[in-house]
Amino acid sequence: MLFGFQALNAQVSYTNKAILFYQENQYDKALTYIDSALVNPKEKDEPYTWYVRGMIYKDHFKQKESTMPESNSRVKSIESFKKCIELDAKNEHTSNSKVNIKFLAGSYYNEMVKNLDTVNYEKAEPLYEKYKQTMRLVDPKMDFTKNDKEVYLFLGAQISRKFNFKRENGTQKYFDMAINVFNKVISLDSNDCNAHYQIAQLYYNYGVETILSLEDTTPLEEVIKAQDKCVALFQKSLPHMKKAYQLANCKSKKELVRALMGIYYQLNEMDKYNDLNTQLQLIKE
Amino acid sequence: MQTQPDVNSRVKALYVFNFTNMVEWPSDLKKGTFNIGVLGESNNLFTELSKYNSKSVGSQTIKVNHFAESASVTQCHILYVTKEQSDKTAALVKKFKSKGTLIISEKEGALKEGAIINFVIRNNRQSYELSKTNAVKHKLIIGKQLTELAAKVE
Repeated sequence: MLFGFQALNAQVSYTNKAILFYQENQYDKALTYIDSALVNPKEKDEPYTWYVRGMIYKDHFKQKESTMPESNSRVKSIESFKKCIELDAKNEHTSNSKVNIKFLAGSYYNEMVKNLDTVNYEKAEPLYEKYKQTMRLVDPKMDFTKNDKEVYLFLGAQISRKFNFKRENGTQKYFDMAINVFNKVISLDSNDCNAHYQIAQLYYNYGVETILSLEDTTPLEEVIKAQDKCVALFQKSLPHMKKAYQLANCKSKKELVRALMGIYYQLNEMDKYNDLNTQLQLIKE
Repeated sequence: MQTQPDVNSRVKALYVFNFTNMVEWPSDLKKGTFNIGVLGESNNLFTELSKYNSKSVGSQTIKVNHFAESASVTQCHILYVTKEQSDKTAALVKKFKSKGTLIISEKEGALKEGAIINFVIRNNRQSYELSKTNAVKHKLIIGKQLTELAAKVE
């Protein structure tokens, strides 16, 4: 972690002065000197100057701003390491810079995970995007597909919990958000069984509650409208559950057959329901 | 075995309760308890209809009764004949003719056997068809809205 002085020039080296204060954990003074180095024509284009700046801001972040989602020190640290790499024609500091960038990217990821709950979920996706942007500085061709799917599946599950099926009352937006997030997974992988299953369940449960939550004395016209809505929801559920059933690698066969039976039952498609029921009896699990 | 929540039974129960306000019974039947009978296996529909026990139809209080077999069926304002007992429809129509019983069935062609309202499935939805002719035979007057919302009227 520590670095030695570099003979940047025979005269004042703001970078070296910054290192001195940094080693004594006097971050504010260290930062003052390193920022002065950036306007010193002899230092501003040195990769080592930017490397030192990256290190100071990184430790400032760790010591003072690690609980701040919008930490300015973290941003400046990443920028500094990035600049170091750009200037590092001799490849003396690039490897270490990348290690540090990965560390900082990891901090975004860890924060994202902490925010994947029903209260803070809206902070999770932007943090994940920052993680990916930062990791791309290290490896521009990095494939995040597998990670994306896991994150979006978990995020979708958290958002789903916010939707109150029984009393929509302003919670409809969570239903739509959850569907959108699961659809992101499908756009990455059209054969993701989990995503299809989750979408199917969301539509199905919403359809069921649309009817079950009606008051006992609901007028007939309103019952008919609710039924229309309910059928439309079951019909949206069906293709996703059929896909999950075909893929059959996210739940047991029995669970998938029962889930599909449920949709056909609610849609009054009793022939298909009965066919699946026959199949269910033959499944040995 | 059906372990899913039974949306269809809930819908049918909602329909049946609405029928109590959309059909005119003879004046001599507008006093005492308002009886709804379910003939057939005690099932989800009976459970859903039982939620209406003690609710009101005009000045009358609803009582929901279950009949396991047709021989035990007594006078009702509404008699729901479940699918498995649908072969008894014609006999029940004859037994309760002119007695103000709204006979509801759930079998294709039941109107021809004398039922007044028959639950049918149309476009995945629970709906109903009704026979005004049969209603008249049972001294019942079908309200305008009930006619307008029917899938088919005979």
